[in-house]
Amino acid sequence: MSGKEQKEIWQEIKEIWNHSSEGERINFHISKLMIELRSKVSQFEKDAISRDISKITESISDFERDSIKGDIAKITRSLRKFLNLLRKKK
Amino acid sequence: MQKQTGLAFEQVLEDNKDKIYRICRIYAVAPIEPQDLFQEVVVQIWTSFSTFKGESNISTWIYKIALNVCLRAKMKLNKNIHKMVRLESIEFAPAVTSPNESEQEKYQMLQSCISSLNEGDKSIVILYLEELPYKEIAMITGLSENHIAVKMKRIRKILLDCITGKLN
Repeated sequence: MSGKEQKEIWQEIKEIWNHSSEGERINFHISKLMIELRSKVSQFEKDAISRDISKITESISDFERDSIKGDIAKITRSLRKFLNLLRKKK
Repeated sequence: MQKQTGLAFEQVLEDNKDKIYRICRIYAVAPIEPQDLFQEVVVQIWTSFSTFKGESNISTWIYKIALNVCLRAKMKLNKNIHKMVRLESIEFAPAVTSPNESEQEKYQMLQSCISSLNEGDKSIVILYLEELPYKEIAMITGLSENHIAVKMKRIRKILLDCITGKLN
């Protein structure tokens, strides 16, 4: 493809792109939109907060589970050491 | 104060609605419609409006939001989450002069070629078609201007090959 052809096709691509919003007419009823947005956004915030809380709750229970496992492992190790010491003394 | 915010918000929407719609249209894949994405972008602009500090151009900020919303919607769609916002106060109607069949066909070709690009390249070419300078594209994408220039050379070739392939 020659440089001229490339330029022409690229120009056509740009025109297709620029005209791509022309098929739709968008009107805002701004005062109604503000009311709608305020109510929706506060609902989103509430939803986001409850999502965050459930995530935190899940994370806490995971953390607790891991922590208990860690404690059990520590106790088991200490018991083994103690039993070994007892055996040696005998 | 609230009235001022409302007026400023309205101005931002009016000034940028066409560019937002172009981006939404290129990203819209069934069952998501461009109008759905547009409404999501409006909500996001409203949510972040108070945090806009004017450090960048407002249109740069709008592009960033629109691209993020569209990408997020795509990810949601991939996870089978189809929940979208509905704003009754935004009215969409076909324009008086609708594009003809040939124009629609050409647009579909362009959309299919742009959709074949990876997400990063897709954002870059969209911003390039919006005639943003490399500096602004770099600010939005977080890449360097040189990197954008190199990438754009390659993307342009891919797009030209794809379009000419479809035209022939």
